[in-house]
Amino acid sequence: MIPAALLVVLIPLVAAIPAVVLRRWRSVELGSALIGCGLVIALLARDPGASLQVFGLGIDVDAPLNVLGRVLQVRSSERYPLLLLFVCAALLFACSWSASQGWTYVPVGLGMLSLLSTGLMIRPFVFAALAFVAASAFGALMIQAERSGPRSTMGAARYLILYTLALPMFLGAGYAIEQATGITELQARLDALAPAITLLIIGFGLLLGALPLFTWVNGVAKDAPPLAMAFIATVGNGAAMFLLLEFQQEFTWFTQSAEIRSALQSGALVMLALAALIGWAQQSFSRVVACALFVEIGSTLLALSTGAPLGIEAVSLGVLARAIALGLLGIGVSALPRYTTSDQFDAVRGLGLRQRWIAIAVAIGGFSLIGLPGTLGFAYRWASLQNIGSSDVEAMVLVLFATLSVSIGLFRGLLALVERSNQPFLAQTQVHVHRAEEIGIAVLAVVVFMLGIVPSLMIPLARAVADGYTFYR
Amino acid sequence: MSDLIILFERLAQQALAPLLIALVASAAVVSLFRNWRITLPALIVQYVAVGILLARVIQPGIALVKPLVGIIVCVTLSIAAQRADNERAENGEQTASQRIEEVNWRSVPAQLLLRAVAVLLVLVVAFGATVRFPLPGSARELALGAYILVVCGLFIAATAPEGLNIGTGILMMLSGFELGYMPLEPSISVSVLIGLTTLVVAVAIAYFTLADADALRDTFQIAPAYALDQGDLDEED
Repeated sequence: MIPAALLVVLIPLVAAIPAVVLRRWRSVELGSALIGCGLVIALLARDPGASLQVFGLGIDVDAPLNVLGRVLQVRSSERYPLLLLFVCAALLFACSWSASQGWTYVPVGLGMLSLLSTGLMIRPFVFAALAFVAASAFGALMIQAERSGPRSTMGAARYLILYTLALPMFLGAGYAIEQATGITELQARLDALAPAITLLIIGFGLLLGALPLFTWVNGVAKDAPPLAMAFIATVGNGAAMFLLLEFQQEFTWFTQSAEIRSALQSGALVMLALAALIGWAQQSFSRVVACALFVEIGSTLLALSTGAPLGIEAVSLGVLARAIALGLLGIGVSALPRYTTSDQFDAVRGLGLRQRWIAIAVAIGGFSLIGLPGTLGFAYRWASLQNIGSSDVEAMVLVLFATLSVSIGLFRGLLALVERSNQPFLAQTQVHVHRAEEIGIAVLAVVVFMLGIVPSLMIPLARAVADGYTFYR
Repeated sequence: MSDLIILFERLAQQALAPLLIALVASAAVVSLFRNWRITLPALIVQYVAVGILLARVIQPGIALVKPLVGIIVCVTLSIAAQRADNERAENGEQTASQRIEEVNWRSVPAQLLLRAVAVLLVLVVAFGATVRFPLPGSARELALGAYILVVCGLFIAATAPEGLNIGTGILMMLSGFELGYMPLEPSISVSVLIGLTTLVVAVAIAYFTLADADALRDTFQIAPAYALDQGDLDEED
């Protein structure tokens, strides 16, 4: 029998080969990526314990795979989170159909997806950190894409440095956890685990972009192609978040630690306060997205600190909502370099009146990102606020305030986009948005509104993710 | 056992002081200079020293993985750096070898002196950390090496503007983490996985090196950033 874990790791890597070799044919590149993601999704959608026959070979969904004495396995708690990450990845790959993000986007994205899946499935957790560092190297390639020139590598390098710095935290924590395993006396055990808690707080802070404040999130949002940024913010950060949940699932001391809870809350509040402080004053779409991500990460950390089922459902919903919102926004922002040299509000003044599809993509994607009622983002934001408000009303008010600040920044950008202006643009604006781009924008816009009006379509997946975790019951 | 492994084992047991000196010297050279023709050979020396030091806590055969990975990494980076230099030469900019042959005596001493003072401080911090915050495990000499590599790597990554130098700092940090962690879990899987991670990181750094010199387009034969579809180009024409 072939363990499904092996296929979850290998299929994206195999799909990456035609994607990189035949990268000049966009349909082949994207086709292989979508088929690869689709196969993994189909595999993970099967019941745990189920086995299936493909070409005479048996595949066991939850069978363990032993590699050099380390175990890779699709456990029941990881099945739906992995499925969610592959759905988001497939969606973001599909968004690049008409909005090229550089040759690294699809093949390197598949490699990153494979490594992040390895990180989630491997035990002991020390090796997850290694997989995440390797994934960050792929992420750095996606961020760099085809940009070149002196100092063009700062955002990508910063991302790689901070992920590398997370490695010793997990290595040290792994050692401390191992040392504490044999201790039976409760207080002595908690004392032995204290260094692990401190190291894990720093490690997860670095992986989730909360530590050091404003470091890689801003740099990546500024430098990365819009959809690559969306991929990292959704799939990369989503994987880090699910790794945190896996820790909570596996270790009772981690779940019950007051230090972890207060660190999650403090990190969240600082990120939200920063977004509230600077969100309204941003002058470019990439910076508005960075501030929106601060709010997203802050809300996620707050939701995780509550440890309630609604919180986990909300963050799962948030991953999917973020993928769709950033995907739509990314298609719009990706089209801007055809007409302007930057995504600064001053540079795009008046462009939206001539290129309406770009304005529509940026507006609807942005609305969903800030959680405007009627959009998909609102469904997630509502669930998240309900969960946060039930335990901490002040934090809920701060989330609202930060969201409002980012909304002001976004609306300033949108107003500039649709303002009457005689500004000359790089390309003739008679060059219309590609037909495939129009279709992509229209489909995603419909999805944003449809799921915003009928969020129950997404609830089963979010609930399945939450049901996989039993630590909060 | 092959002669190489026997030599590795003997060096690991009998040449501790020279190995630590080699480690400090290579870390100082990589921190002081911003020229790949000087830093990459120093990095190879460092990988060999780290490999031999690791042979004190793991099987020498497994410890050999480290210098092998290091050599592959340095060769990869030097190919990328040479390609970047070719691009710079085409653009009329100074290459790494020209910077060695035609030293700018007006600016170099000041930069070098500043970095030398910083490196001295960094090394003092590393020695202090080894004494004040000893790492768990029995091999304290490895902890000293680990602290030196991590602190120097962090210093380079934080101060260097070019992708190659930042990457060298990251690679030094990874070596430092390995040196600090291997005495705690001396296993093949840790060694192999850290080696694989180092190789993947090196690929990213090689790409950064090409990007810094504007050599991506020629090397990968790619269209300009955010390339338009052929249809769009036709329409524009």
